Amino acid sequence: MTTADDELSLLELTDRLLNRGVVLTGEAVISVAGVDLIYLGLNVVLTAVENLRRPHGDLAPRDHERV
Amino acid sequence: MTHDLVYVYAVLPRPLAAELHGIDGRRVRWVLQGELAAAVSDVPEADFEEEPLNRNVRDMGWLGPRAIAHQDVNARLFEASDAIVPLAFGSVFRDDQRVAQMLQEEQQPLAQQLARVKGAAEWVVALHALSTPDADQSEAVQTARAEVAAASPGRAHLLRQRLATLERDEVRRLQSDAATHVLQALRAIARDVYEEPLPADTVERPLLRVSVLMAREHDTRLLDEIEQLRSLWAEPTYRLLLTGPWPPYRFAGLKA
Repeated sequence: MTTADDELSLLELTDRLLNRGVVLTGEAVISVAGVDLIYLGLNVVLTAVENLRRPHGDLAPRDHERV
Repeated sequence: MTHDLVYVYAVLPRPLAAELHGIDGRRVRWVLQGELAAAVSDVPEADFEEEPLNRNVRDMGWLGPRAIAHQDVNARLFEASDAIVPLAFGSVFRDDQRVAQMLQEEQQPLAQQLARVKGAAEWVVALHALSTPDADQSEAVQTARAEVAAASPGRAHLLRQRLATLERDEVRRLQSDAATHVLQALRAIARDVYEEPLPADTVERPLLRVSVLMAREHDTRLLDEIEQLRSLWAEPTYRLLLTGPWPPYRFAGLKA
């Protein structure tokens, strides 16, 4: 089951992982080109997340919103 | 038969013994070079070659499980090592030799990044406005309200427009004060703070969003500070969100 918190966690996760676009360019490495997915496609992402199944455990570090 | 590429999760000062599995369940192994070790696994070229990769990352159904696998590996490495440079999603190399070459060429910046984040975790703090803060305390607003009440109907209409502007400005000022205060409070306790650029046109645009680098031994200091800030900038007007501890993606990521 995917809850609203999980969606937030996955958004936060993809933001952490993708926000900077990527990394090195040139011969040695392939890079994700300027992905600014998290906020550009927020609605698309939220919709897509509903179809996502988590393999196990927490998506991301615990959300401390309600300690 | 499809060819494999080499996916890099993170760079550490030394390899770890833990048995880990990464994207598509493939085993995590190590590429060693000098004083550095890269945690890698093989990934299919059909998915991770530049062109399909850039298409795939826009598909949340494809990206989601792989992003989670990336984070799972990095979370385990992060917990088991006092220093880690976690790479961004999609750092893919042709083969192990190219990974070793990167470690060699980037040896100095990588060593500096490892030193910078040693013993520290990354947290994300976001301040949202749930409702409009009360502008009643503003003298200008109070005066304008009194003038509207005392004015003739025609003049009151004009004054009301001016009052609306004053109220809007006051709300902006209060929200900006809240964001500044939260930012300063975090700066006072953190090893480093990075103010994230805010999205321009989303529904829930936060007032402030920051990445915070914090020594692990001071985790509780951050949690206490957040509790205090939540009581100062309280619901239902504000909401302060905290996630973490993350591997230091923002503070240790390789620069383009």
